[in-house]
Amino acid sequence: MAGANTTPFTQEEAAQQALLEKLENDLRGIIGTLLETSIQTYTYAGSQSGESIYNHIKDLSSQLASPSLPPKDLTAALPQEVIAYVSQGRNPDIYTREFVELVQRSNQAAGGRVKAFGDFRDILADKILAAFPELKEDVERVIENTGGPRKK
Amino acid sequence: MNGTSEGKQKDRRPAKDDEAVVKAPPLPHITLGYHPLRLLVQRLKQDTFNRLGELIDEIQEGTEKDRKLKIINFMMERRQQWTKVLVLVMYAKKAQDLPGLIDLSSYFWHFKLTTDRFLSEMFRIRSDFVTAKVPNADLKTALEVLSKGSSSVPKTYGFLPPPPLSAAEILRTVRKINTLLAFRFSLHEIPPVHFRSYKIRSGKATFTVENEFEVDLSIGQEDHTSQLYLVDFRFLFTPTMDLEPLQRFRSAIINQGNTILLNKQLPGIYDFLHNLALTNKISVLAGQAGLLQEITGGRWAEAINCTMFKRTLRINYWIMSRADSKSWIDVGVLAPTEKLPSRLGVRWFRENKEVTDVEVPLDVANLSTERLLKSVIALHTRHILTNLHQSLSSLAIFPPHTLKLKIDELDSSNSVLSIQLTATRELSIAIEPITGKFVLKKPSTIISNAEASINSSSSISIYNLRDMIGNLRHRTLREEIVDRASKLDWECPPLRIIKPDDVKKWFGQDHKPRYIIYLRRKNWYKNWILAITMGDNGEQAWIVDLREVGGSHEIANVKIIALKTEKFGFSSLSHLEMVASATISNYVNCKELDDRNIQYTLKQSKGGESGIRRAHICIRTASIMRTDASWARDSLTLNYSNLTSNGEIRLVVQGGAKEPMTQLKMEDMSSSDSDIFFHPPSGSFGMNFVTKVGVGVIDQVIQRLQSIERLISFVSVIRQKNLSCQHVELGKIVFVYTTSPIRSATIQFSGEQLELIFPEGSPHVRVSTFLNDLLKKGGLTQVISQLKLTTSLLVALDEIEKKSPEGIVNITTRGLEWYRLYYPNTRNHIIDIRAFRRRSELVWFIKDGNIVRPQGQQDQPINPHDPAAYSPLRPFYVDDSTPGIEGLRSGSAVKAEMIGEALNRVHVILCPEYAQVLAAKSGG
Repeated sequence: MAGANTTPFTQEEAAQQALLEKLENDLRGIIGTLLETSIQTYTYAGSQSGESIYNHIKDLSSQLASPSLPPKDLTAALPQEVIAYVSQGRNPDIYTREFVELVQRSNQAAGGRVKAFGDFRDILADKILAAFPELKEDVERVIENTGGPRKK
Repeated sequence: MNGTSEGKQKDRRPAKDDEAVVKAPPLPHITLGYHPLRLLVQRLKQDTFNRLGELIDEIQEGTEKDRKLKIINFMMERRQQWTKVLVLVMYAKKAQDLPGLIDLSSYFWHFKLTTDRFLSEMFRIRSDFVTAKVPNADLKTALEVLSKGSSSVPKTYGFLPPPPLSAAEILRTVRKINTLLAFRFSLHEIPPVHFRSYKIRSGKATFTVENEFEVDLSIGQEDHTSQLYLVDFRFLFTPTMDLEPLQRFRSAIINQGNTILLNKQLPGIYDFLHNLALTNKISVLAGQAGLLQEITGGRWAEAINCTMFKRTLRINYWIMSRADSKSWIDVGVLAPTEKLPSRLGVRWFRENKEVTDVEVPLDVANLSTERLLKSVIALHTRHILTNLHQSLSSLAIFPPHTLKLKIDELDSSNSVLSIQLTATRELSIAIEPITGKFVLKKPSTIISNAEASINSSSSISIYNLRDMIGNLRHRTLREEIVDRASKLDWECPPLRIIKPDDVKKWFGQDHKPRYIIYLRRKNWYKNWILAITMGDNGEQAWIVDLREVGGSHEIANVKIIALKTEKFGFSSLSHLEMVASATISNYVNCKELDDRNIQYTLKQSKGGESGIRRAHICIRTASIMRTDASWARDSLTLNYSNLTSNGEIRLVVQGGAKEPMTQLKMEDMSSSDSDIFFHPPSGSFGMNFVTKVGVGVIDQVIQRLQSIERLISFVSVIRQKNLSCQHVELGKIVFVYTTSPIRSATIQFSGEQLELIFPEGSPHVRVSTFLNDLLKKGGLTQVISQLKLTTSLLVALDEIEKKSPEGIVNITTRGLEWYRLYYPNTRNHIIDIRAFRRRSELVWFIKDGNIVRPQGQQDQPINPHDPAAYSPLRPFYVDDSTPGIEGLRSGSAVKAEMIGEALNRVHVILCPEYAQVLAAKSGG
C-alpha cells in the first residue's frame, strides 16, 4: 500500500512514523534477547554461562520495564482482522492485497448496479409516460433528480 | 445512492449558487473494530513480565534439564508472540491507507444493502399489481337502477334455514354415536396395544396416550367400516410448540390425520400422532437448548453446543474445559421394544465413552433442557468426585477422616469434596456446573496455580488429579513446616545441599519422596541436618549425617526417626527437635564410643511426660576407665535430658561408686561445680553436659570420670589420715595438715594434670617441687606422711633463714629428706640434716657435711673413727642431756618432734647472735 507514489506525510504522520520506528527497534531488541537467552540456555555448561543466562534475563526484564515501551503518544491502530491474520501466523500484506481486490470487485459491482438502475429508470419512465401522459412533468423531474439526462 | 443524496443537496441550494462546485459528502469513517497498537504492546509486555516472574519461580526447582527446557520453551514461545507484534508494527508503518480502504469497503457494502432493499421493494409493488383489477361494469343493473331507481336483482338466494335442533335430539344423536363408537372399538376395530386408553362421551372417543397426546375421534356414518374422523387433538406435555396461532399448521395436521384414518385406521393415526409428539418434544428441547446457548442472555452461552442430526438432538456440554475429552448427550427416539413403543430417550457420552450403566432421568411430561443438562452434569460431577474420593483414599496421606464427600443429585454446584490437606488447611473441590471447570478453595498461591493448571489442561484423568492434589498437599505442608520451623529458630538449607543421586540412594528405598525439606536447628553442629521427606505414603523424618567433600556435601549416613503426629504444629515440631537432637546425640556418642573401643549397650526406655521411647547408652565402666575401675559401679548411663532455649542439648551421665561416699560430707561439696553432683549416702554421682547437638561428649566424660576417681581417692586418703578438708570440689581439694597453727595444701587436678599447691608463706613452699613429684609417683598417702615429718624442721629452717643476719647461712634443699646449711663466714662450715629410718621410726641425723679444722690446726690428721673431732659442734654431738636428742659423737640423732629445738641449738653455736632471737622469742 505504501508505495513510493503515495502522498508525503503530514507532520503528525511523520511523528507517528518515528514512534513506530522506535517501537520497532525496541521490539527487535526484546526478540533478540529472547533468542539469545534460549541459545545461551541451550549451550549452558557450567557456572559462567549461568551468569550469562542470569544477565540475559535481567536484560529482558529491564527491556520490558522500559516506560517508553510502548511510546505514549502512539495512536496507530489496526483492524481486528489484521491482528487475527497475524496471530494465525499469516502475512498481513496478503490481507491487504485481498482487501484491495475485494474493494475493487465491490466497486465494479456497484458501478454495474448504478448503470442497471439508470437503464431501468429510463425504461420505466418511458412506460409511465406512454400509459399516463399527464405525468410527464413529474417523470422528467424524477429523472433529472436521479442523475438522468435532462429532457428539456 | 450517491447520486440521490447529491441530487437532494442540490435541490436545497438556492439557484444563484449555480457555480458552486458540488462535492460528494465525505465517506463515513469507520472506527469500530480497530485496536490501538499501543494497547496490544502494553498487554503483551505485561503478560510477558508476569510470565517471566512465574518462570523464575518455577526454575527454582527441578533437574537442570527441566530448568533448561523451561527457560528455552518460555523464550521461544515469547519470541513468537513478540515477533507477531513486530510484524504488526512493521505493517502499521506502511498501512496508513488501510482506513480509507475499509471506509470504502463499508460504503460499498451499504450500497449493496440499499439497492437490494430497493429491488425487493420493486418486486413487492409489482406483485401487488397482479391483483389490481378493475371489474367490468354491470351495465344491465346500472341501467335498471338509473332508469327505475331500484334494482330487481334479489338480495338473497332464498335458501331455507334448517329446522333448529332440539336439545333432546342432540342428546339422542350423541348417545347414538357414543353407542356406535363403543361397539366399533370393542368389536370391529380394536385399537393397537399402546392406544387403548380411551373414553367415549359427547359423541366423541377421546384416546389418551400419557405424556404425549390426546385425540378426539368420531364417525360420520353408522357403518362400522366407514371412516373415523379426527375432531381435535391436544399435546399432553409442556411446553409444546404453540399451535393455536398457526391455524394452518393445525388444520394441516387434522387434514393429514383424516387421510391417514381413511387409509390406515387406528394404528396409522397412533403412529402419526405418536411420532408427531416425539418430534415435537425433541424440537421443544432443541428450541430451549438454542435459547440456553444464545450469546446474549443465555446462561449457558459458550458452555454448550447443540446440533440436530435428523431427529436426534445432541448437546455437548463443558465445551470450554478439557478439549480432549468431550462429553455430550443425545436426545432421540429409542426403537420400540416388545413391551414398549418407541419413546424419547437419552444416551450419555461421558468423556468420549458411552455410559450404559447409568440412566439419565428425563421428564417427558415437563420438558426442560436445562433440567436435563443439570441432572446429567450432576451425574457427571458425582462420577468425577466419587472416583477422585476413592482414588485419594487409596493414598496413605489421606486417611478416611481427611476426606469428606458431599453429593447433591439435583444441583451439582453443591457437590463438593473436602480434603483436609494439613492440620490447618482444607481444600474443597467442586465443579462449576456450567463450564465444568474445577473450583478449588480456599485460595492460596499454590492452590490457585493448581486450579489454573487443572483447568487449562486439555484432558485430565483421575490419576492426574490425584497426583496433583497429593502434590498440593505436600507443597502446602512444606510451606507450613518451613514457616513454623523458621519461627522456631530452624534454618532451611537449600535443596541443592544434597545431590539428587544421594537423595535417591538414601531416601528412595521404601517410597519415592515427592518433596523434601531440609532443616537445621541453629546451633546444631554443621554436619547434621534434619530431612523431612514427603511421599504418597506420608511423611518421614530423617537425621542426616553430612560429610563435606571438596565444597559439596555427601551423605555419610541417615537414620529414620519416629514422628509422633503428622500435623507438624509448633508443639510437634518442638517435639521433633527434641527427638532429632536426642537421636543425633546418641548416634554421635555411640560412634565416639565405637571409635575408642569402649563397650556399651543402647537401651530403650520410656521417656517422661512426652511419652516417647527414648534410647540411653549404658557404658561399661571398666572399659572407659583408664585406671583401676574397681571403685565404681559396673555401668554408667548417658541420658538425654532436655534442650536449652538456644537449641543446645543437655546430657546427663549417671554413675556411682560401689561404696557410699561417707568420706565426703555434703557440706564439703556445697560450693562444688554445678556440672557435677554427688549423692554421698548412695555413692551416686552425675555429670551435666551442655553441648551443640552433634558434638560428642565421651572425651569429657572420660576426663571427668578421672577427676571423680581422683577426688574420691584423695578425699578418702585425707580422711584416713584424720585430716580435714577445707574445700572439696571436682578438680580441687584444700586440706589441713596441721591444726596449730593451721597449715593447708591444695591439690588441683584435671585430666592428666595434677598439682600440689601451698599458700604463700607456707614452710612447705621450699619443698613443693619434691612433694609434687612424690604426689605423682607415690600418691597422697606418702605426701601426707612427708608433710607430717617435715613440718617442724621446715618451720625452724624458715625461722633461721628469716631472722639470722644477712649472709650468715645458706639453706639448700637436696631432697625431701636432705637439707644442707652452709655457713660461709664460719670456716665454710656445712651441716647436713637427713632423715633415716631407725627401728620403724623416722629420725633426723644432724652431722657435719665437711671436715673443717680450727685455725692453726689445718694440718692435723683426721681420725677416721672420729671425723668430727675438730667440729665446732662437737659439744652438741656429745650432749645427751635432752630427751629425743641423742649425741653420737660425730653427729646427733633427733626425733622428728625435737628437730626444731635441735636445729636452733646448732645454729646458735655457729651464729651466736641468734641466741638473742631465741631469747626474744621465748621471752615474748
